[in-house]
Amino acid sequence: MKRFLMKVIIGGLALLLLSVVALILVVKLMPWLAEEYYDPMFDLDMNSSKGWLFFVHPFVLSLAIAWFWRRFKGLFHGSFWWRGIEVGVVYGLIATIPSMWITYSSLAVSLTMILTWVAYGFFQAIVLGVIYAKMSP
Amino acid sequence: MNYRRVPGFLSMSLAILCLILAGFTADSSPANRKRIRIEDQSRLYLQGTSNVNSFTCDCEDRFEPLLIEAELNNGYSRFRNAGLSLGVKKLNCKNRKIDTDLQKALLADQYPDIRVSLVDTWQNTKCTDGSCYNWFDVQANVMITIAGVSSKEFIKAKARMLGPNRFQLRGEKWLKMSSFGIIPPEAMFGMIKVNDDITFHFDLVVVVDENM
Repeated sequence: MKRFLMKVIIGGLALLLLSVVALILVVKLMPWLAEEYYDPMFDLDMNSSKGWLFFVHPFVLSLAIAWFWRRFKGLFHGSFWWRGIEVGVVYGLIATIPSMWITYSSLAVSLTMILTWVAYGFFQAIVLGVIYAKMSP
Repeated sequence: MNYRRVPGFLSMSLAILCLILAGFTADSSPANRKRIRIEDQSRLYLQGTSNVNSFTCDCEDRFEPLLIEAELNNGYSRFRNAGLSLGVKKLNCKNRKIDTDLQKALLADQYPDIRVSLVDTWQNTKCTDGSCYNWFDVQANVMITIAGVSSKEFIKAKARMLGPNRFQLRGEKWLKMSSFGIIPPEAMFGMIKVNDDITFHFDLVVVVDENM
């Protein structure tokens, strides 16, 4: 259990770093997209009561993928790179695409915004998949 | 955008400049009193930028006709009781988040109004008889109080007569929010930052009431 939690924390920290880099890149490379975040719908503010939840999200996802990996890793074959990518794609197809589909259909966000979330969801899961495939083959 | 109900604090103070053109025309006179009114087609707005976009906030405050006192000496005028207020919550930036962030930054709950007092003005003496139907320069000193911090500011504008006792006044004033102790708003965990510089633009049609 201790090893399991250690993997969750390592995966979560990697994703946390990735999410901060992603925020910086969005502002630098796609300012027109970042402008969409300047909307009352988004509560990305450290002073808000929910702001801290954003930074906990990487650890929630890490816990979920870690459990998935421990339970189903026998189904994935090949190099750790390939197994990690496959896990990410499976997660993306099962979780990210349906949830982004319903998000796009019900919230006033642009298709570009949704597509970046889909891509980010796949990328996060692939990163975690590669980490777990390497640490716990 | 609704520009029909825009007269605001800066506009009102600048509109007072028009009194010079509207009967405060004696070469040297004791304090004189006039009532002025800003017409609905006038427009006042502020423009700002952030590191990702720009925004425009219309002033939707409406003011009652204003009674002010002025002493004139050729093209120079000194004013008394020319203080005006603008409701901070009447700024409409067409984005609720910018509206609320700006109100927070301007400490709207603690200081609901921006105060402006016209101190004195200068203009070309050739235009003191109300005959300048072409644009001419007007300068003013105003005391602006935002979020409880006051600063004396110099404003340059252009004016022209549209008819008897009716004038148009146009110009802009650049301010730094930090000079009033205001911390510019931020979003997205500080990744999006509103820049310190904001510019007030005004384009006013002012009428001076002769029936005093």
